Amino acid sequence: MKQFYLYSRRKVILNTGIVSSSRATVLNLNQIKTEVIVCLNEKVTCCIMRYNKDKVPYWKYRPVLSHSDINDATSEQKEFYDFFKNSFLNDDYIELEGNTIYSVILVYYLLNEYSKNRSIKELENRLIILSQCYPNTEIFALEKLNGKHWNIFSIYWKIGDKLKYIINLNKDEFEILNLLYRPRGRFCEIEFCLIEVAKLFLLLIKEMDTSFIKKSTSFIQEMNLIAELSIKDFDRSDPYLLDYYNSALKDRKERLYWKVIELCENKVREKYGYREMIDLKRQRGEFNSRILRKARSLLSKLISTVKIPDESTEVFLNALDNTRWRLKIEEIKSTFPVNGDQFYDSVMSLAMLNIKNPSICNIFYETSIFIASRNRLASLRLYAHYIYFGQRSAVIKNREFPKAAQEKLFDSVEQALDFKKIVNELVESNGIDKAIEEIPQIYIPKRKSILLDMSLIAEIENQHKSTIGLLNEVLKGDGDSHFVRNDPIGRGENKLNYLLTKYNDQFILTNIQVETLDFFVKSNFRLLNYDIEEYCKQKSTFKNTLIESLNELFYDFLGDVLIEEEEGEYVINEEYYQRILTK
Amino acid sequence: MTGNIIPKEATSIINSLIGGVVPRIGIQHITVGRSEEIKAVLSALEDVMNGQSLVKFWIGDFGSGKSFMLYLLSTLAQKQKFVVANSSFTAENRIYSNDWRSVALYTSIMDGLTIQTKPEGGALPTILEKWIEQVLISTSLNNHIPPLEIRSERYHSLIQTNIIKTVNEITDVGGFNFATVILKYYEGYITENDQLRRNALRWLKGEYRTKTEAKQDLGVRDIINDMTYYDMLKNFCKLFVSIGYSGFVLNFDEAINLYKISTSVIRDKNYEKILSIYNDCYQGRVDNMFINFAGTKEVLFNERRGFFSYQALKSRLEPNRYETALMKDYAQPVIVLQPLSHSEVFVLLMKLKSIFELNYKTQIDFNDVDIKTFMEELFNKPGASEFLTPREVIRDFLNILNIIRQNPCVNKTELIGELIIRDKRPDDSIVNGIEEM
Repeated sequence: MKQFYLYSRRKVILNTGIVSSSRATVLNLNQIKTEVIVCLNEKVTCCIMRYNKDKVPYWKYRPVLSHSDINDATSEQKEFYDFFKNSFLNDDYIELEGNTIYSVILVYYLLNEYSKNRSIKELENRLIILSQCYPNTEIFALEKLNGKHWNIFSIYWKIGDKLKYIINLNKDEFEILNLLYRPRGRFCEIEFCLIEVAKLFLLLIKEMDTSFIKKSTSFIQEMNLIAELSIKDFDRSDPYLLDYYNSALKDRKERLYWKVIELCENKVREKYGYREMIDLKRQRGEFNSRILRKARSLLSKLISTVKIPDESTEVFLNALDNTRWRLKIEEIKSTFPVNGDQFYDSVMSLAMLNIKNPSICNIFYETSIFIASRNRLASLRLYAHYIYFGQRSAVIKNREFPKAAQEKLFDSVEQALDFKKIVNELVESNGIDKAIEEIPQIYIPKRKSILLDMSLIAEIENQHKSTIGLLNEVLKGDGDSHFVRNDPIGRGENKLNYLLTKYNDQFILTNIQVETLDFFVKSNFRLLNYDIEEYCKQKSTFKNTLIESLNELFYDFLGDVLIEEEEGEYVINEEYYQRILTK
Repeated sequence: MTGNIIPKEATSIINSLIGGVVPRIGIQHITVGRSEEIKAVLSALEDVMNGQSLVKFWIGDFGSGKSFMLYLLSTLAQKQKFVVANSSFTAENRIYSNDWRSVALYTSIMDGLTIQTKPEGGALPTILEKWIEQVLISTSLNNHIPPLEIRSERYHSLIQTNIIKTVNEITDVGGFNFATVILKYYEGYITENDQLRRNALRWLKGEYRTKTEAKQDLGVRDIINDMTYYDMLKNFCKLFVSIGYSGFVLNFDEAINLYKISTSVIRDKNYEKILSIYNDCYQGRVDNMFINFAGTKEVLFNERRGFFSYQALKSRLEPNRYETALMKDYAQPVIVLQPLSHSEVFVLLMKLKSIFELNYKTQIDFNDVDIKTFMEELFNKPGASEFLTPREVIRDFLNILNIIRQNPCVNKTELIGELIIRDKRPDDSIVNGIEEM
């Protein structure tokens, strides 16, 4: 009954999923939680794991021998351990963010408690929850539990026993798999992987049996034969040594089967993009030629039957192989080189599957730089996630964007500063949602309000008034008295020639100037260049000097030249002429 | 608000500003925010009038008002009886060269000579004739010759002597050739030989490229070249003063074109020439000359290619280290023009609205709040911080007023919302691509 209970428990755990990392759970990165479904006392319990508000104090892993090892911890670590322990005992499960040592010490605490209250049920329940919530503690916890319940050990370690009810093994399959203990590598600690390896192994045996039929033999017979051949020199005549022979034969068989299942495991690892492979020592002789060569050939066809990992398996695989995401990132980069939104969603989905990966920050950092030139919002959001997860990492320090990326991301220093402010707030408050919400605002052009200081405006107006006054003095005043050193032409001429004229009294004109103006009036205010030149020759004067002297004389009064040169003729503006007449 | 502005000025201001140019008259009414700079200009002009020579560097970013200040300076200088020349450096005009590019600059200066009554340029013949007439009058007075007879041929040699005498008094270098050419001009006038007069003007403007041609046409053995043009400018400066002008103002805009010279040796030679002019002016080797350069900040401050790359120039032009944002020193050679503040732009727009209403004898429904909204809209447009200039602000503002004047029911908010800012900066991408040689 006890055994069934345990099988049943494992089965329930598998069917409901050890870890449920639903999309909603992970996308809400402010409240990351992992749901662990455990069946205790034939009741399904959901243990919700949550991140601590503050960062878990880093504690480098080392072998732990007893609960008293907590005395080696720093005060900060001790404080956290007490908090973690009390939370655990009150069914509040805190993510340790890779600091497994706290959960290992807790195992010793639970064992100490058992030695006091002798409640095996309570110890069992606690250790099972602990091993499921903190998978790295699983083997250690169950070994300790095994010390109290002997039958757990074999059930846990024999593959046949472990998977009998999970994949409904028949008698032959069960016996073959029970020849093997569960592989100790971390890959097969993930049940999904173990199942797929076992299924591939059984399928391989089936296929090999089919090929051996022609030779009237079977996989098992072949394996037995090879095992016997490997110890053919063993002396079986002595009945005292027969037990040793049988033991050695059994051991050889197990080793041979082990090699075959390792071959299968490597194939599954390869398919799952798991980079660490089992080192299969080169096998020679009959085993290689009769079994392995054929197995390799068959496996390359059979591998297609292996299921792709489900989400929870992906989470564990990524936690074990912390650069596995790189392959996926390359795929995403080539799939969405332009569309930043889709790229962002894909990266977030990938991050969801890497929620237990201590290198999750690198996913965000690398992708934020990649997308910087294509979609600035996506880039900054990914960078914010990098900062958020970086806060929880003891190893990864907040790196800034490379300068080239910064130039693409920010149009102005102001934008860069706004983003820096968001990042600083994120670091302080640890609230990723707020940061994500605020990021688009840095690109919204800020409407600059013009502040007008009325007193300053009045001051400017006054200054301008005085400037106008000053300039009016210069521009409208009679500059001649101040500025002209020598008598200009037209003024220094014999003063006897000055006349009382029909023109405004303020103008003193010479004979020639009056005659010239009259000449213009007679010619309807227009004179050809030739006519005026002839006229000047008759009067023995220079044309330019004459025109200049008249213009200069009336310039201050008119604010403009009286006589203008226009395409080969000289013209007097009639309106100006009327103004200079006597009034 | 309009003060004592007259309708003619209002028309000139509105029409010119809508056309994107500085008005010829009434410019004083739009000089908001430049009081200190204007005082500095007037003070400098007075100093030059009194015999000093100055060099000023007007430095500012795109749209800070450098060209406006040079224009205002020209207007004020013309009014104060200065002879003014406005020129811009280009790829073909340089202050130093050995391939006639300096002479090209000189020619552009002489072609663009302005006086108050010739504000559009081309004042050289007028000035020369004025001078010759002065010589004629003084000859007639000194020799008791009736003015109407002084032009007769028998007094020709007497006039020649007086011209040579005056030229010798005012020229240091190249005086003989200068006097000879002036005499040729006079001779052309007396003998009614227009070709001779034109040739004399060509020579004076540096348009002769070979000595042979000059000798053939005018009988002079030399021509104005890259090495002598600056001496000729100094001669003219003295001549202008002797005629009765207050001095000679030379404005050089677009100094970026010196900065753009890709060959560092040639660039340095140009900066060396500026240094030599600077030293001439401040050490009293030339009188009544006022030279202005306008350029962007990088032209001055860039230590790799700007004026500051030439150490001797840098040491002279370094800003007064006691100057602060509140305490500016406008007496130093470098005047850095700050962009107009929002308050200054606001006052300018208020002023323009009043001028606009005076010009069209109307009242526009566009109050101070609307002006503020207009400014906010414009300054918040994409690109505003990089390439919005007062010219664009003014033009857009006047265009909106014009639309409202003609369509009183138009929605102001919609009009303001349609504003667009375009990058009208000169393409300086070529500067970035210049390889140092």
